[in-house]
Amino acid sequence: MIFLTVGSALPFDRLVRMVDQAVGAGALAEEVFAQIGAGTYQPRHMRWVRMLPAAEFAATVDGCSAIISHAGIGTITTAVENGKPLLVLPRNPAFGELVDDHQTKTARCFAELGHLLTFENEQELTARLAELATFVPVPRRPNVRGVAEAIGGFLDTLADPPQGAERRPC
Amino acid sequence: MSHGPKICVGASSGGHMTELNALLRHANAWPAQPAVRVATLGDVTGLGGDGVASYAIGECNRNTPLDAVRTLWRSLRIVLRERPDVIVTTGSLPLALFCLVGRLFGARIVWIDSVSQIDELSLSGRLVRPFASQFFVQWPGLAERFPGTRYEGELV
Repeated sequence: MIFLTVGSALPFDRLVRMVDQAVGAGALAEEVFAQIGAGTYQPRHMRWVRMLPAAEFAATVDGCSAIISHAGIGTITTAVENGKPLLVLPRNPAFGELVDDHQTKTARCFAELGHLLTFENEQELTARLAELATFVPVPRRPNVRGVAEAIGGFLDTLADPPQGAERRPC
Repeated sequence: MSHGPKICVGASSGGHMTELNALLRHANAWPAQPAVRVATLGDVTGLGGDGVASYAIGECNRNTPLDAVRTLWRSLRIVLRERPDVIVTTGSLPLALFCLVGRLFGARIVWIDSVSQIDELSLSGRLVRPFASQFFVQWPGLAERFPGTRYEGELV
């Protein structure tokens, strides 16, 4: 099963419609299950829900063979951490899907690093879907500990002096 | 009993929250644990905690000025009630407004621009940068181009 998800905050009818039509045209060997969020387009060729509870979302990610989504960091992180092949369509400000085009840059950059596949229009979708079937994502190597320690170093400078340090002998 | 600063952490619901939650899994590197948590949507999933005050300040962006006013008002009430010493946040715009209010009442600001900001600082980051005590980016090229920003690695 391929999991199509468009994030929690905004609708993304353009992506849902494209994938639905691809399924209808028989472009996918696998079943697609969609979480369409606040979208108004209702898929005709695949099972769909508005929003899954967090636990069911996690179980769906766990059970799927690949994910298709917008280029949001939440979904990208989820896919990469779970080793799931991911295909993204960046939200495009020209269609009012986001306030700026940072998702396009994010998608291109993460694609160059081998973390995901991306497409930007309907013409590219079929070829990318074929690639998705065999795509193995490169894992990311974040340095969360290093960032946390750097912040900790700054927080230490705000810490109160240890109790008694400012007491003077009377 | 901790004698560290009173720490408030916050992020917009969604990807920004994913990044914050990754960071908070290493908050044991800090002199105190977060006492206040701020999200944008009412569902502060993953933010409920023992003895941690959780708040939602609402979503807003550059195209929704009325929502921004609501976020500012909610931020004011939270800041006056909690009086944090420091705000640690991964963005975005609603949290920048929260930081602005917090700074007016003395809080220090630690801003981490999202990993999705690759070749420019975010709009909200640019708003906060002049009064942030610490400004982290997650791509080394950004730290080279924007003085005063730090690259120490990625959160996700």
